Amino acid sequence: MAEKTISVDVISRVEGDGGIQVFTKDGKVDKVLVDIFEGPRMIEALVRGKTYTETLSLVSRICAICTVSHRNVSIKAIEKALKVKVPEKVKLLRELMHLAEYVESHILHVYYLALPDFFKQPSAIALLATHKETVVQAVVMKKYGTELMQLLMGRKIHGENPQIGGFGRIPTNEELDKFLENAAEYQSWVSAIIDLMATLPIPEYGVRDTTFMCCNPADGKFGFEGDTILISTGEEYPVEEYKKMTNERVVPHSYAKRSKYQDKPFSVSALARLALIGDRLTGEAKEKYDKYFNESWKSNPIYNNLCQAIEALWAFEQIPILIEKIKALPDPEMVIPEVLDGTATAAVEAPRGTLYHTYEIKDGKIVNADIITPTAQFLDDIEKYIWVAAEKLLAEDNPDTELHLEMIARAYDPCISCSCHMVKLVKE
Amino acid sequence: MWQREKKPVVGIFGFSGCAGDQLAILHMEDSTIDFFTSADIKFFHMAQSHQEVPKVDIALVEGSINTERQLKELKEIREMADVVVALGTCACYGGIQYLGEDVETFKERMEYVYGKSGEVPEFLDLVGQPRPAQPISEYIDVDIMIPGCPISAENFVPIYTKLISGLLPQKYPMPVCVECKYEGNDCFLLHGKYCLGPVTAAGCNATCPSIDISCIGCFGTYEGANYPSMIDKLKEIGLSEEEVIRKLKLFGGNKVEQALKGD
Repeated sequence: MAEKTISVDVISRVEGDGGIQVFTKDGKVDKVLVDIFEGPRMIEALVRGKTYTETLSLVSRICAICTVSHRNVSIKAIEKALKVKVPEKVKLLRELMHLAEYVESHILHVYYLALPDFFKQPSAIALLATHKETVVQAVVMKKYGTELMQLLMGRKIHGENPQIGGFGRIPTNEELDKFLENAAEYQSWVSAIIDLMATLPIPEYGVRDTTFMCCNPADGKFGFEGDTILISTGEEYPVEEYKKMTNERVVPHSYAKRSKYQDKPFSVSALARLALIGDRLTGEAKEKYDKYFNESWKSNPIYNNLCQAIEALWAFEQIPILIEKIKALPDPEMVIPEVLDGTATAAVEAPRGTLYHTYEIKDGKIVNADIITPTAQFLDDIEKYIWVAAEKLLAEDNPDTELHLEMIARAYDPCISCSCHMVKLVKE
Repeated sequence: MWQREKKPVVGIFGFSGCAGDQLAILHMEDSTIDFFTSADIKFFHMAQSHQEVPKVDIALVEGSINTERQLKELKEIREMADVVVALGTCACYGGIQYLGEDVETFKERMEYVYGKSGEVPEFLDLVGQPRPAQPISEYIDVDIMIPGCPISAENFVPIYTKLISGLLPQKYPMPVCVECKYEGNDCFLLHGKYCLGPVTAAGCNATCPSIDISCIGCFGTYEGANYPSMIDKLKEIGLSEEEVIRKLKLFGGNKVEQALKGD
């Protein structure tokens, strides 16, 4: 029997270390494995016995790209467990931090990691020769995001400024004002890239229906926080019931655990958010959503790149509004927890999907921790899309098979450090 | 060192960690394009595809070694590189995932996270059998250490610029306290608050003390660190011995473990 293996040894332009293997038998796909080589770091085990403050420093280091999401969700869960109520200004500064990360992470992924595929180039640096203005805009916009993170977090990556009960140092109104200056111009740049990407041909190999999940912001607005999870099946559950949605299991080819909902792979992503609550967007981001989003996006993960760009546009619109609200409020004092025991789960939408943190705290120290990252949730879904795409690519004997498979994985913006890297074609 | 007729060939490799040191390079923003054009970057998974590398002049290696597969790849990198640079606290000292075995064994931690052996599938040799996290210096000769969690661009760029010019960078043997003085910060320890500045390598520009947060030691150990004195001081402030050791070990990795054992 003719057997062959397509393998992408290492997926590039993703965060972390993984590969793709497609096994075929008699011209049909027999098995797909997204292998995760990133070694086990066992963060959940090592936070046990640590104070909640030490824990914040450890868990935010799960991932550099989404350090803010890990920090925000861990603060949220610990404050929920210890019944800490923080003043409005602290809440808004945390929201601003999260939006800064949406800018940083989405610009990095759309321009540096994904866009080179659309122009068949190996990297954003290679794009300098043909699309210099676009690359320079990307650098400038990402700088805006990382500098806003630096102001709020204390540095660009793994800042220690956000703490339980408040911030080490609250930024001044003058420091915040600097971020009002260019937001409108950056909106126009992102708007133009959305229009450009919408005209580029989108590969239609990995096409199938899936299930989407995301946090449901309680105020009926578009956002990244919620105490319940919306599912495209029409169901909605409190975040405390996260195990019902994720059903984590261990597979032998990956140090990232895997998730299924009702025995089926599902997606968490910018695409999931736009599919579920995209109609709640506002301003120009809503105009782009209305103009371009349609049913076909829901069955092709490549469109996640466009959804991320729309969310980046939304973030640039929201940041100035938020800064004005923050400036009007007085600087709060740090709130010290009075209760030192408790258990809680919190979820946020990291740029690449829903992120859950659960802590059981006793006498101010962590007794048990459970962290479920977006990548651990969608790896099964990537495998399914790769399966569908590989069948079509093999049938037409496509010379760019590995590239197309890698593009699917890359579109999810997997964060492999988070989940615990990624494709080469070997034809036998 | 290498011939100067051409740009030096640089490879950037990542093992277990958060990829924050590679990201710190991408976050240099205005200097990012210079970084990619001043040397011949042959290998950088996180930022580019299509890469095959037989030999590099400089290997920047991030992350700790957590699997057999990573150990094998690390040794291959040493074989093909003239200069190996450990990039970040994980590569230098093991990072937050280096935790020794005094509290619980590696097996116990694996079981806590992945489930009991026998009840969960065995990991395939393809992904590499798991190993307790170790810094790269545990297994290969390392020429330059640039610690940080993550590295700071201000610290990295001068060292890297010298390296690609074929020069060996000078050492930077200072604790965070020196940078705190430059920044004009008030001393936490003098006010009876914990801080790990005196035993922690400088290079961050005293980032945390400058925003009223105690140094947590994320750049790892400072060469001349006086641990007995640091422990006495923190106990004097009111921390228990257990608390002091726990805080020192948070980012201290193998160096702190050796220092505490009196090696």
